Amino acid sequence: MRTNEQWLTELNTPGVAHDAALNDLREFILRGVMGYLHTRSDLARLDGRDLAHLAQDMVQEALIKIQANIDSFQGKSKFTTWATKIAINHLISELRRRHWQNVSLQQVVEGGTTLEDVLAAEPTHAGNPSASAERQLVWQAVQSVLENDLTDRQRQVLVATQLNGVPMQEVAKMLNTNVNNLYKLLHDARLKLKKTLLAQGLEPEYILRLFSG
Amino acid sequence: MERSTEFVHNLIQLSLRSRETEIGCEACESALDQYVDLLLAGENPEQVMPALAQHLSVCACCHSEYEALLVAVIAAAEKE
Repeated sequence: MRTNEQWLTELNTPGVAHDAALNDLREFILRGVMGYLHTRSDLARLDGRDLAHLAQDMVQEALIKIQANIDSFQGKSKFTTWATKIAINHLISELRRRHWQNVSLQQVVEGGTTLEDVLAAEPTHAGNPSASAERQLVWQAVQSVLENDLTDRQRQVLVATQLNGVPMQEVAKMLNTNVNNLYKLLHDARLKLKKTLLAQGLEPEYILRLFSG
Repeated sequence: MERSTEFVHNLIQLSLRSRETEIGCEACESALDQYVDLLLAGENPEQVMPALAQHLSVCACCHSEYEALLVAVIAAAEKE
């Protein structure tokens, strides 16, 4: 097993050691990528050979990125973990892009569960009347924030990401913005909701227990 | 659980986990390898990197990536 220093030295020096290191890195990452791909139920339709081809293509592309960014490795983790992160990020991004490439935000909004559905919903009853009443109170607080305190954009992004499961990266593309902006938008929405929930006078842990069933 | 109900439940959980100041996805992604290594070394990454742990508790995309990296590193190291 190479140390971080050995990986960096060998990968930065053309020659036999470089080729061996690159090959070992490829094998390491490929095992990792295959291990991950086997957990993806959405890829169950692919047979073993197709899965292997996908993995090999993704790993090859990732190795180019890893070598291009090798100077940014700060040594705060194992080099192999850092490199695997780049490969996994590349793979997930590509799978996500393929899955969502022909889907528009309008299709998501129109085809999925709507905010109106949420606002019309009623909480399920808790075990006793007091807990049920508190659950109703919290539920109404959530509905009130959704209806009155969020911007249209916040509602749109919440519906897409939290209600209809669209990844933030894809929503950012659909809205011609970036993940950072969307994260700030959602962060603000969460804080508005938190403030309103805590104003009900219930402890956070209690609220979570009320809705854990 | 019906989708609207699940949505409200998740929203409540996410909001109560929220902090005034949070790191973003870029900061999370850049340190995810450290976090995973800490976990696999038997350390407690939630204590060592609390801001990242909090981000993972409120960001489904980053949490998926964290789980993917964990699975991949374990799988890769198994056959070494």
